[in-house]
Amino acid sequence: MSEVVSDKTILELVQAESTFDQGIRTLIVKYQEPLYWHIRRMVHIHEDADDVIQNTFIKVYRGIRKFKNESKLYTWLYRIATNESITFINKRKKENLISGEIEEVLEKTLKADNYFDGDAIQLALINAIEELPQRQKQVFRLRYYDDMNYKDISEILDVSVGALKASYHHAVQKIESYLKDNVNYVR
Amino acid sequence: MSDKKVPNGYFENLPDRILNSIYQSDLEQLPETLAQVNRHNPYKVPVGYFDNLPNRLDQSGTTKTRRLWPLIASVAACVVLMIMVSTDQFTQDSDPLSETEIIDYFAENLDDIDGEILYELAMQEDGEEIDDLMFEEILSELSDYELEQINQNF
Repeated sequence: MSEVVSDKTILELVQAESTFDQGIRTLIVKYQEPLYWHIRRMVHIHEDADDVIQNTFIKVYRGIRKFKNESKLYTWLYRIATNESITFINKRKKENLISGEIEEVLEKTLKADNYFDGDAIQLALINAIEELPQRQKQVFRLRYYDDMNYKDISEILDVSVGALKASYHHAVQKIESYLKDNVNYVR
Repeated sequence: MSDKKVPNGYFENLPDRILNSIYQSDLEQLPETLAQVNRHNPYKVPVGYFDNLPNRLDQSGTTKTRRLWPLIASVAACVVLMIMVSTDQFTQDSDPLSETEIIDYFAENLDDIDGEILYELAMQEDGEEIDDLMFEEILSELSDYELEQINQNF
C-alpha cells in the first residue's frame, strides 16, 4: 500500500517546474478513485465517467497553479468534477434525449451494463435521485454516498449550509416516497 | 471567569464535535425504506482501471496541453505585439498588456478559441522551432472576433 501524500506536499510539488509532473501524478493517484465514483454516480456509465474524469484532470492540470488555499484542495477538485459532469450531462441530453425519457433510458442502459450489478432497490434509488432537482441531487449524493459534511459540500456547491440541510431533508423525503411507490419488496 | 478547569482545546473543538454529531445523526436516521437499501457500490470498473488511469492521462490529455505551452506563449507574444500596435500602445502611457495574462487566457480558453490549428502545429516533433511563417499561419487562423475577445479581456 503506497503512502498517502498530504495535500500540502502535492501543492508544493506543483508550484515548482521541476516537480510539477510528479505533483500532478501524485494528485491523480490520490484522488482518482473518490472523484471517479463521484462522477460515475452522476453519469452512471463507465465509459462516460472515464471521459469526464479525464476532462476533470485536464482542467485541474491547467488550473492547479492558480489554486488558492481559500478552500480545501479536495473540495476544489470535487467542484471541478461536479461541473464537468453537469456539462457532460447537459450536452448528452441535448444530443440524445428529451425530457421524460431519461428514467426509462437510464434503467435500460444500466440493466444492460456489464459494469453495473445493482439490485432492484438500488436501481430504484438511482432513478429516485435522478428525479430530484439539481441541487437536491448533488447534496444527497455527496452526503449519502461520500459521507461528506455540510461545510465541505457548501464549498463544493457554493450554497449555504442551511440551504443544503433543507435540500438534503427534502431529497430524503422525496426518495423515500419514490421507493415506497416503486419497489415491490424490501430486503 | 470560572475557576473550574476544562481539557485543553475543549471550547475550540466543541462546535465541531456538536456539528459532527448532528451531521452523523441525519445519516443514521434515514427513513425506513431508504435505510434498507444495500450500501455496497453497484458500479464496477474494468480490472486494473485505476492502476492505468494515471498513465493514460500522461499519454493523452495533460500531455497535449503541456506540449501546447511553448506554442501558446509564442502566439500570445504575437498577439501582444499586434494589440500594442493596433492600439498605439507604443506611444501611449496606458498600462502595457501582460503577456502572462494573455498566455493564461489562451491556456484556459483553449477549447473555446478553436485551438485545432494550434493543436495540429503543437504535434510537430519535440524541439522543432516554430518559425515566423508558422506564427503568421497561427495568427491568420484567429478570427477578428477572437482577437477582439482577447483584447477586451485586458
